[in-house]
Amino acid sequence: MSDLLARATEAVRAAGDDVGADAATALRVRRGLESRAKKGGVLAAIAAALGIASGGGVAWAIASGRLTIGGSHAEPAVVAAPIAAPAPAPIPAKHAVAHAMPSAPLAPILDEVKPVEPPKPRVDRLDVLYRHAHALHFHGDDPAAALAAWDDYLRAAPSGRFAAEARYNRALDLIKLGRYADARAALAPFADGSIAPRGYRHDEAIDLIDRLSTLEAPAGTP
Amino acid sequence: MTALDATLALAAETGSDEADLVERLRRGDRDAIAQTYVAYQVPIRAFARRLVGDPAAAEDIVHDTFLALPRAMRSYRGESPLRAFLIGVAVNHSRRHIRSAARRRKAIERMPAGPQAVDGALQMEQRRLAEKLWRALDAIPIDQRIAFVLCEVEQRTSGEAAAILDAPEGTIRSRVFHARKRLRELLGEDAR
Repeated sequence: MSDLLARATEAVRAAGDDVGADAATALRVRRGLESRAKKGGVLAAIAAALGIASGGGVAWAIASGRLTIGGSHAEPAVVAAPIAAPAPAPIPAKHAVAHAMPSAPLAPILDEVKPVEPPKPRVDRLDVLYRHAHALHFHGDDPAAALAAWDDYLRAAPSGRFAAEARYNRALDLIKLGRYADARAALAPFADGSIAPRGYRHDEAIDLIDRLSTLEAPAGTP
Repeated sequence: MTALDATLALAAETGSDEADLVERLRRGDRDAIAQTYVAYQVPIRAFARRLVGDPAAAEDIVHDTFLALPRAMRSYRGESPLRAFLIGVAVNHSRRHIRSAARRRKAIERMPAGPQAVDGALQMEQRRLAEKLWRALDAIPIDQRIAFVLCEVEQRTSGEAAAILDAPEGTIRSRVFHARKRLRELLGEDAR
């Protein structure tokens, strides 16, 4: 790229480097969703979840992967009950995005906000391994089985799309099993920011490592 | 609560992942939308800012993107990361904002120059260069502009841009090629 175009491109890139959170836009999104919810009643809970103190002076912040508002945790989530709605007609993949997202953002949305049947997932080996581990981790009561399942996934896809999530969840299973030293080692790359995507679970890992350092390994644990 | 209980409770709280988030978004889980906003607003805003060069228009794009999210999730097949999908939603909502930002830039150009805040020569020069490129971007087709911003400004691969725009990779490369050629001309350089 020529020098002037290269420097101008760099300048435009830099213009996006210093953006941060914006409470005013968060408030607008919340109000937009509230407005839609009034029409259908379905998104009321969603709008409430985007709650900001009145006046809009409080920005959302992400910490530990959990929503905090004004430095304190938001109220527990209320999951909108799924609404039985017929699955939409299949949209040809090539046109799916354009079809689903009209340019007029405030178009009537009563139907749009209804949860729909999720598309059937692609089935491949990695998907199966991941879903299996996910189910064992989040819905099972056997951390050893979940750990083995994460290991299976990571062996098959060490750089896979969900490798970071798998490694983090694996560390959590190590904690559940009382293998604190192994857990600390597994969490270390998250804490030092060396795992991709950079910053993923960084704060949680530091917090967990701190807490683990105060715990003694259960009797019989190497 | 013992220390171990507290640790495990924290672990349970923080144990969700992107697949889990996507599932909850598809169900219309209100907390999932908030979580998505918190996690992805900055990259969406950065992209929008680079694309339109106008902070107000960039905020409008962020707003439209998240307002459209519940509906947009219908078309998400999980074939690209959620972040890339959200950039695609932003692209779909950016066109009218690109045009309005361009109109504002033209109107400002016609105004007599007023006093400017001087915050350092380097920053002034950066700002001048960025404005120059945004004006040039206003003069090329929007599809070329979007491809240029994704590939050259945000330094994504043509494969990533193709996934975001749901277009063939060759098309993306062609758009970037033509954008660069035209931008060089517009910036007053030789089209080499």
